[in-house]
Amino acid sequence: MTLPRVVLGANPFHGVCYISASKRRMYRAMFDSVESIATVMKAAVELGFSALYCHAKEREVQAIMSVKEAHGDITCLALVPDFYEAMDRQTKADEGRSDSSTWKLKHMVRSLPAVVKAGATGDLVPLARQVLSDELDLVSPTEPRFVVLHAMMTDMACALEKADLLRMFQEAVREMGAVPGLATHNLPFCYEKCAEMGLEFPLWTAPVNPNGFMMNPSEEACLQVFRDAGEIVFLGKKVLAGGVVPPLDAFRYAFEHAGIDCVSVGIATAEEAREAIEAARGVLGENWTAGVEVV
Amino acid sequence: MSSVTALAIVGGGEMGISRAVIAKALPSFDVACLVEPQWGVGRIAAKQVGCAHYRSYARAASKEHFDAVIVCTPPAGHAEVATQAIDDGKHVLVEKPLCTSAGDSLGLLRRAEQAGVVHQVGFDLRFSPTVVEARRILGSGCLGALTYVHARSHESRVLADADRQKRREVQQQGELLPRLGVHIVDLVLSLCGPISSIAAMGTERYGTGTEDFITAACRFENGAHGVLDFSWSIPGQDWGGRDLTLGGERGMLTVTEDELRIVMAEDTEEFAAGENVVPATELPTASGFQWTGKHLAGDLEAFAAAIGGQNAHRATFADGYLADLTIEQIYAAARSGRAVQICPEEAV
Repeated sequence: MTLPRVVLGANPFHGVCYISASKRRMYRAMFDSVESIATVMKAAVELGFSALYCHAKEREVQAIMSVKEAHGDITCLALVPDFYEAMDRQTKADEGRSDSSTWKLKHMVRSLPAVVKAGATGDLVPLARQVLSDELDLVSPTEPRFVVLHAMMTDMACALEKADLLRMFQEAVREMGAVPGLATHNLPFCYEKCAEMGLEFPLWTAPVNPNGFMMNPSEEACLQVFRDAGEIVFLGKKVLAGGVVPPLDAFRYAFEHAGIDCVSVGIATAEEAREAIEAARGVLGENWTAGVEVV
Repeated sequence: MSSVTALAIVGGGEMGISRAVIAKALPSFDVACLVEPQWGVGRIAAKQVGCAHYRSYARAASKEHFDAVIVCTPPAGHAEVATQAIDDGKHVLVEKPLCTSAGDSLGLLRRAEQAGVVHQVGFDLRFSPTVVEARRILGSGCLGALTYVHARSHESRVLADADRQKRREVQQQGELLPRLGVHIVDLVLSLCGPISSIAAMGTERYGTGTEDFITAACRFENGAHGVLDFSWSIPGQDWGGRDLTLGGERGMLTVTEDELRIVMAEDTEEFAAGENVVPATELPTASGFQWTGKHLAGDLEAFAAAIGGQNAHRATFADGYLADLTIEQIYAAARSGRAVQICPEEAV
């Protein structure tokens, strides 16, 4: 499967920003509809982006569907799960659906065996499989070529050495015909843990920026993983360090200093998309649209 | 004792699980057992953590070997569990607030000092990169003597549309200051020193049976003047409703989770005259394991360092007692309508 070297990130679309509370509020207000998200995505695609990140959120899924309808073949990377959104969906079912009681009852009945098993044996895998299945169903209309496990889940699973959970994720993603990847905020730790557990993921996504922001436990330790990893494809995230590093410096650092293959970059306007593309072209030349093979 | 500290974690809720996950990832700790009275919750949580489950601390202590205890029960249970652990000679880290009364906190402090165990309160915000940097700037003396403090802790938990269920939850989980204000109270005390006197006003607005807004005016022992403002009823404060401004004779520093804003009257070696902004993303993260966006790894690493005999910056039970006493006196001032003096017990 080919992963373009520059991927449009999705953090601004759901109000994630590391600069200030007011900017977070601004993003939430800016991207409060499918249309507002789709407009920025379409502008980015028209400028040359060919890969889009998609969190397991209904608005983002619908926005990507709308972009695909207008522009055809787009590589989609899905990030799952999103527990907050899942809870929100359940709440909305309570509030808005005429069949909310039936929907909730069906959901509870379906979950019951997994809940009972978790209570009796402490084994959360069946319950997690169900949550994952719901999340994959949600993102499946975008036909994701890559599905990445959320960093919070990866980090927890590695800390607790839950090889069964990670393996279950890997199998479920392969079954839907996509490539499984792991996102993490603790790359050296998780990378080593996965090796110890005998797990191999072809795609990892982790913070990469010249400020060392969120490169735990240290910038140097993360760079060492990139240097030693061989065939693994790394997709750098938080490359702008929350928006304080200019795209050209960010891409130089990621591609030239860290030597990684791909980056995702969060964008809130067409102007920012243009700036990111100019920076990508500045560092990678006209080949910036090329992709890397992930197997 | 080996360099790996065996832990018992008491409380299988969100904080207990978060502490367990991070402890498992840090090389200084191993999790020996989890204590959670609810059988199903405890069993599932312990299975995930990969440790034994017990329904009481006493049972865990009789069956397992551990060197230290992390107390993550609801605050009303902190004193009882921490007392047992101290009496067993265990090092203890208690989630904030230390206790539900300053008297209990003082009792714990004295007991822990007498037992010679390491004691700590989980004020993890002290390990936020911006707070670490603010402490350094303040310590450098570039702001001059501290003259003014303004602290704000706002959230959106109890709003006009809060239903009866929400209000009941609030009543069960504790009042505004121990629940939400205690972090900022600890930061104020740890960065600015003790408060000597307080006048305060509180307002109940949404039928929670307790104040939804509290504002305190205070004087610090070093002469600085301060305003502390707390509420869980400010709309739109879901993330980022906390800040602390420290005014000195030569400049002013505002700290949030996202940035430091330093305004200087004149050029200094480090900062230019006028406004200087340092985003959190430009500061070192310094964390052995980042999870959930809180600063729990820094807090646990400081606990491990103290157990290992190193002098790490951290919040002790003395800090927990001072925070609880300050909160108690803010309520006393707000409810009596009179200014009160804060007089900590000696030897603290």
